[in-house]
Amino acid sequence: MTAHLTRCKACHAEFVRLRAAVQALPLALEEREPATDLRDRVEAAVLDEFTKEGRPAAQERPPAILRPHGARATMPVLSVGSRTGGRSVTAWAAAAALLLAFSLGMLGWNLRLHQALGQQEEEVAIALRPARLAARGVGGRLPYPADREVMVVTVRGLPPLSPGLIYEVWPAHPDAPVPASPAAQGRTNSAVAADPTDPEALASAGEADLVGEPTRWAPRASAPRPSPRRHGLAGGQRASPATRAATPASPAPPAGLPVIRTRCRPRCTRYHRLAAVAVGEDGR
Amino acid sequence: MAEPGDDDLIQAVAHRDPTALMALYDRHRRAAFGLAYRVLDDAPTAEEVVQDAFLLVWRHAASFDPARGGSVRAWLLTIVHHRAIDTLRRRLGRRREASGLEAVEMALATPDAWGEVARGLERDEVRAAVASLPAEQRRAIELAYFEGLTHREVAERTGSPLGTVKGRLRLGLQKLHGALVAAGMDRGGERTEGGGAVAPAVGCRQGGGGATHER
Repeated sequence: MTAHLTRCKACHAEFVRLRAAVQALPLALEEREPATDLRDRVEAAVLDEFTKEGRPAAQERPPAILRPHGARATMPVLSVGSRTGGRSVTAWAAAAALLLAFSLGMLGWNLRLHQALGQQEEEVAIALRPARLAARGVGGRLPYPADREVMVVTVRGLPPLSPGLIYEVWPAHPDAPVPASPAAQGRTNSAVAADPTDPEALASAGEADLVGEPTRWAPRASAPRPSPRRHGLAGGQRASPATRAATPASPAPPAGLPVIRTRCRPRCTRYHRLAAVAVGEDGR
Repeated sequence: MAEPGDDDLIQAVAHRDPTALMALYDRHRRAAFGLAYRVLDDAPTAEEVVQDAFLLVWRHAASFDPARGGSVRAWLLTIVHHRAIDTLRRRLGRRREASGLEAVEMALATPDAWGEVARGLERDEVRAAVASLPAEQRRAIELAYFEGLTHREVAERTGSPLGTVKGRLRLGLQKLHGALVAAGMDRGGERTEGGGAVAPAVGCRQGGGGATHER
């Protein structure tokens, strides 16, 4: 039949019509909502495959400042909560470094990175929730540097915010996500980074600092290690970085916040939440 | 920010962006599950089929070329349909054999001409088009498509001669296509794989296939 269709335009034309009719059939059906956990299963299965695929085509490299030698010693450290499960490296190795970047600034940023860096790295998947953000094309990647000193999360396509609103990164303990980063402000890029071997440590960098010293978020950098339960920030809550560091709030992000889900490293066999991006209000 | 289209998302999937796949899932899960459930009449199994289908989309997204006019939705639903029919056949212990309509569908592995048609389809209009078919033709199509029956099996099920069943299927699909075109849904016209126009009413003199949707 295939051979004939390639020779006979008339039959090919009819074939096209019949095929179109066949493909219309499911469109006449009543749509049905599957079980809500099917999304999680699909997502987990896809991330499994993504992880097994290894290095993706697109390579992203973190800024030099985010993979320093002796990172712990040179980067401003921000405590984001105690490690759950004691020595559970797999549970928290993912919460190494976080970068929020708005889409308009990503091109120049990436160019700078590619110029500045030459190390190979692996990359693992990020999926954003809830669906409304993913449906808008918001996506992210988690480059995993070969030296494994620092990881960076990039998030693209986040809708621009109104003045006074910020995005905030929430690394997630298995039991309690906590806000861990300073905000990405406006349309500029912002970054947070940390040593993956110590997921309790986070440092931050603003766009202007990507090739220099990271911005110090003094109130946080100097703050004693807080309990995760003291780091929550409800969406829409007005608070400055300084006040956020000491604001007691819910240990969980507000309902409906997008959650970045990933694995802590490419061959990790566990799947856990890494971070969430919350929208709060910056009182500055 | 404008929401990305399916073509944008499938390209992102081809570039290994899991969030793009999940965006497609969020957009088409109900249609996919509705189709799988219609075939299988079993929610857990239908969900497995949907999951498998999205994994196949993930694996083969690079083979999808929106420039050729294909519809991601139609492609996805074709995959769901194939998986659902395969599952149904395994469940019923039927040997694997191309169904009456599956033979037509087989060539859909690479999408092309349906894109512009599918983009304009409304469910009610498709339903109306299906409902406008003579009952025998509609029944033959439903048995072949939703139950995955072969021509011969449709003939056995309906107690009709094999030749009659083949004729009903063909005429039914021709009329269905004609009804969709008449409803103004074929907005983009038909294209060959190379993108050129194909005269819609040309029939094959050699193969006796002169029937068109005008018939």
